[in-house]
Amino acid sequence: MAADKKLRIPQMAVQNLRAKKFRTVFMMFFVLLMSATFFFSTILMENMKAGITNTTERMGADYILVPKEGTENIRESLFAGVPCSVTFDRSVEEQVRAVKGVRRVSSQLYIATLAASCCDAAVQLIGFDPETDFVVKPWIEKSGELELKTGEIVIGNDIIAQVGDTMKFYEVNFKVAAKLEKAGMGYDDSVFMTYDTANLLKDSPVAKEKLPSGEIDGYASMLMIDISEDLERKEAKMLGIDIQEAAGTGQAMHAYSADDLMSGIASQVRKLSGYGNVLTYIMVVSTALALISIFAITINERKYEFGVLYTLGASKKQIVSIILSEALLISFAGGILGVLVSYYLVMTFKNFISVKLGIPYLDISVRQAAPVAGLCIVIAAVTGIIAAVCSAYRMSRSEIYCLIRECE
Amino acid sequence: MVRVENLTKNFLRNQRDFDAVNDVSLQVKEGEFAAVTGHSGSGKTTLFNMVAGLIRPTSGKVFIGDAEFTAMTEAQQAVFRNENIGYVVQSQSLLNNFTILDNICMPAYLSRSVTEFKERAVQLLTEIGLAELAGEYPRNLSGGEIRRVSIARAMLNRPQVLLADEPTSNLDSDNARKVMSMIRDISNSGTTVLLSTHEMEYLDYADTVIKIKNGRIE
Ligand SMILES: Nc1ncnc2c1ncn2[C@@H]1O[C@H](COP(=O)(O)OP(=O)(O)OP(=O)(O)O)[C@@H](O)[C@H]1O
Ligand SMILES: [Mg+2]
Repeated sequence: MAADKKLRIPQMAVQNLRAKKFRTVFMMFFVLLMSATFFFSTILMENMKAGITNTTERMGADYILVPKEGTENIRESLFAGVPCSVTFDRSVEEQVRAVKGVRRVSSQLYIATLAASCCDAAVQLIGFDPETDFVVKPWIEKSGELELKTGEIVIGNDIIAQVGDTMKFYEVNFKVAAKLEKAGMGYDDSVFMTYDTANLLKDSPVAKEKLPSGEIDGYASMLMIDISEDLERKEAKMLGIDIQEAAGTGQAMHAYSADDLMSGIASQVRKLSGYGNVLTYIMVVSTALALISIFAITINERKYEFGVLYTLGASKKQIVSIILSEALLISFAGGILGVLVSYYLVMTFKNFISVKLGIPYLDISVRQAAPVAGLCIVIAAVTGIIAAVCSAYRMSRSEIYCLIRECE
Repeated sequence: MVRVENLTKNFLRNQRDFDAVNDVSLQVKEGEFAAVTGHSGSGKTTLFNMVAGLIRPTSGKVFIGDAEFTAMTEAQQAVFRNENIGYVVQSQSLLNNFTILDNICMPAYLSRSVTEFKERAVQLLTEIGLAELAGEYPRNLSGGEIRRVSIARAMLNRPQVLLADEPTSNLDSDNARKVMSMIRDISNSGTTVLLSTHEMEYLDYADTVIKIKNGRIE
């Protein structure tokens, strides 16, 4: 005769959980909350950090010279594509070029548009000088060899338009000559053009109020500076000061390395992720405590149930397995649901989140999200195991008999 | 066969020692039906719990069959209890989250060695006249039905010994008699029975009567 089908310990755990639906759902909800928070904050932080790295790498200049007043604006534009208009006299370019140790200098001009037809919000226009540029062109040429004619623009990946389209800024029409690859930084929301093209704006009556008077190509918003390769580290460091001094005749200027320029945001992110971490830790610890106490209370209530199992010849190992299975089922289910809920929320409010929090690029592809999701579920499971082990330990210390009749 | 030698259990109460079971020795032969009687608090449950290995005696030994039960480790005792001792505890002891049939099968579910049990479980349920309640949950059963199911469950793995701690308490005399004759039948089929009661009218179901008072055998 074949062996009869037995109720195995995981099935017993499932039956116990089903019989106490409210308790089960309540505990799962705790785990869900923890896992959702952890997933959400970790994904956001990772994306913030990735955004900073992208920005720093993309810039590819040793020094960036910006007016002190406009630093914050430029930074926000580079990192998150928040448009700004910053100007200083472009003659500074020549002064800096004369500094010993400086290899290449190129001006860039930042102009914010009014809300454009293409986009929900204003767009960052970036003018560059094709003669001297060493930052934008290599980036543009990744999408193919390109000779930009006057009136032609290259658009960032997030700008909603196609090659060949016409875009209107300040009542002036521009032709889209190329669309860039995703950069994961502010450039995705920017529109690139040569200084010659930018000069077309000067005839626009609408632009007059917003732009500096006179020839537009007499202005710059920042200088990208490359320094000589054979400088020692220390000399390279000192060169920043020389550059600043050379530039500092009119407006107060500041020369940053790309890292330094972004360090404002980096430290903001560090702070934020610090808070995020603390919050997450608090969340994890309090969930663990909540689970442990709910477990402890219910296990106390259920001592009798386990005592009965003992009288039927269950070993302590079997009892502990039942408790552990219940905890694992709850925490796995809660952990997975938490990740799903969080993922769904991030997906749904992706644009809102990236605008509100100034995250340039919210990457929640499976490749990015899977390890974080895995970590969430592991943390949830570990929390469950801790809760189960704590209650099982407490229970195993009392004599079996006490389980079926409360000991004084 | 159950043999108990100089069994003592000492409890602390109000910072003072007292022996709930005091130097008890007894022997119940194979297939014998022994009834332990005594007032409330005389130590019946404590004695049964030691025989079942649920509490460790302060001193003394318990033999079941040829095995020295008290010499085993806790894990060994669990397996031994599962296979050789059916214990019906004093209070309601069905598992509320499981059906009557699952309750009866539970000793087999917990066992490694028992593989065939369904037929026996159904047969036991039929013998106690509750075959149609197999899929019910304990909360829908009466006190008498619950008691009979507990006894059937204790018998599932064909134990050498059945321990029944006041199996008739809280039952009307009709139900109590049903339970007693059920246990008599179990004894008749060769199982050693140790039963406790403080109701004298059911003592004639037993082969021998052991009186216990203040933890001592009289
Ligand atoms: N864990 C314990 N700690 C301290 N005292 C205990 C403990 N368990 C039982 N006792 C005491 O030991 C004595 C014997 O208890 P026991 O339960 O064995 O009596 P009983 O004969 O089964 O009584 P009843 O007929 O009411 O079930 C009682 O006085 C009881 O209060
Ligand atoms: Mg008792």
